[in-house]
Amino acid sequence: MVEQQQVFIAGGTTTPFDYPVNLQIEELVANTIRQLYEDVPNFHLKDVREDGMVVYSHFSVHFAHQLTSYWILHDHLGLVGVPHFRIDNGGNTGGSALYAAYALVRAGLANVVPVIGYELMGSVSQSKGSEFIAIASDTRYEAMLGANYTNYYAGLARVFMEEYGLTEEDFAEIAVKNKNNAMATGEKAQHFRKVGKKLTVDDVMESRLISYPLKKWDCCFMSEGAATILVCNEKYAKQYSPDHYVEITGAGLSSCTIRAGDRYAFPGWTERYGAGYPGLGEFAACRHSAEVAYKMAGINWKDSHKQIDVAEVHDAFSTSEFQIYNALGWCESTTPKQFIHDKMPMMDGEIPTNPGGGLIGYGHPVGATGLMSAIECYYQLTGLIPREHKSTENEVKDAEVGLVNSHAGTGTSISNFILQRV
Amino acid sequence: MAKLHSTPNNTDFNWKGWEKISKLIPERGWVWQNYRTGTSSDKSEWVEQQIYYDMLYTFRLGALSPYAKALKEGKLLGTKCPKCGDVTFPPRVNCWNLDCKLEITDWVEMPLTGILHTFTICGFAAKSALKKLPFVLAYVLVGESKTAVANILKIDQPWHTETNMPVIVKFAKEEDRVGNIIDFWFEPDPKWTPSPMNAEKERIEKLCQPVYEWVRILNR
Ligand SMILES: [Zn+2]
Repeated sequence: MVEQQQVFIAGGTTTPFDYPVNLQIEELVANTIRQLYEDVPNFHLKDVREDGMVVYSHFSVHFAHQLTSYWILHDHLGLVGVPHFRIDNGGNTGGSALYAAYALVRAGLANVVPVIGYELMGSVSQSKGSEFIAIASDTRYEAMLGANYTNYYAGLARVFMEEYGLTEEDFAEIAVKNKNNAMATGEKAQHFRKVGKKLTVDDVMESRLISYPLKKWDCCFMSEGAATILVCNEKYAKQYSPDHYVEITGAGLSSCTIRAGDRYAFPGWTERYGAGYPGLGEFAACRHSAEVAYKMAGINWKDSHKQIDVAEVHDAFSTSEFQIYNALGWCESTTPKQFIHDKMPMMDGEIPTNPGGGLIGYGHPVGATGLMSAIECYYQLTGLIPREHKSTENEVKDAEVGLVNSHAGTGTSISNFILQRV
Repeated sequence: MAKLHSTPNNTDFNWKGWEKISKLIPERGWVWQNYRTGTSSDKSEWVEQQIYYDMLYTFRLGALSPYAKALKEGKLLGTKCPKCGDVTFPPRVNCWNLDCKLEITDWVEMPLTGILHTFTICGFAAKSALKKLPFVLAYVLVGESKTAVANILKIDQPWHTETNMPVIVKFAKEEDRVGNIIDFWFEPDPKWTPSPMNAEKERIEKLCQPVYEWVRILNR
């Protein structure tokens, strides 16, 4: 009879996120595991073979020009005979794969579960790539309009803006924060590799219109890369990384409509949160999954921004990061406008958010993205930032509790995790 | 007996006609290949192959067929649940209320008017829509629908778009309709007049100017 057990993260590593890269998926993933062998010397894939499973995190078959591409990886890693499956859950693929690994270890069905995420997106032109991603919207009603996700998100942002009296400059603050944090993260971050300099609010305001209120620098870019995170039980965590492991003390996963227009008065939400919620401006799945994760971890909704020391969230757009603050309850005792005015999510604020750079600064190779967020948070909680970033500029000193957020569709699937320094 | 969506026999389809279409637009599979090579700054060699692969999709609309046929006729069909009365457009062929246990909904003709809930002015979009930039993507509540539908708002000066503005539904010319969402779009209600220019409108107008210029070059 298997028993419930506590779940830990004992290591993790990413490749540089860039676009395009001259690598096959085997090399990308092999690089993350070889790096893991170096960072976590006691780790061995043989343990996975004897006592674990592998969860692959990969979004788009279209980009991979290959069905079940993780079968190629599994063979390549020498793991034939080890149970494996792949999670695809849009932009929340990484978070959902982490959730699956969490559930496996929690349930006692496996004791060591590497979660391996990857995405190559440079196989098609950038505009075709955006179209591929737009196929995750309802092709019969949305994708055929010629709009893509940036346009949908901008529409959601506009109503949010109006509701809370926010301006483009408020969003630009977030974009600049993440781009500039990525400069301290260094060579793995896309903004460091591609642009290589700090930006200002003026730079954002003067950049070209993508979809009002979003300009070029408010958005993440097409990226490629891989990430592997090591999820395990306490025994393996102590064996692998006695000085550098964290516990996953809360895990929440929730869902919302595929078509944003359908959540205007969705029965499931109006029954739970009352009429008018979420409308098109709020991420109900974020609120719901955060409530679940907070409850598991003993975090109060109202004080969540005080109880959490550092957060890595899914900022595909500067506007969505702002909507996420609200959906995580961080503006509960203030207003969204005041929250940004008080510089709460900045490096020296109450709750530094996306110190690693987030999607806007670090990159967004979909299947690897949520894992990157979790890995950056893990580094913050284990004191590994100086080793990984070769800088302390974006280190949140003495952080004990971290939040990881992963987000899909127009807020269609969202996961939240609470990590606790052990 | 539960009322179920019908399951037509496959012999009911006009397979012959479909074969004719696929001959008109032949699928050739792995069509074309190319090879490129070079050297990276770290002296490693790279090799790249381009492969063109084509496919023709067939969407069978099943229970949504009346919706598509109505678009061809210049009508919007939404659905109404006979149990709870919820009306939605786009249609939902089973009710979304868990208490209604996936009740099969009835078709209702929607009025060709709505209220704009939120919008964005697109300065960039999918390849197929680039020449239409800058255009407005709007989420509109059509008639009594409890869901908003996304579609294009055609408006001369995009910066004058406002939340809660009344809009009307316009259809493409009959011969151009194809039975899907692009058969119609929104336009401001002719009785509506925009509020005066304000800081946001001026800002959007300014942001749009390089987009107009870019599209002019694109159209050359
Ligand atoms: Zn009903």
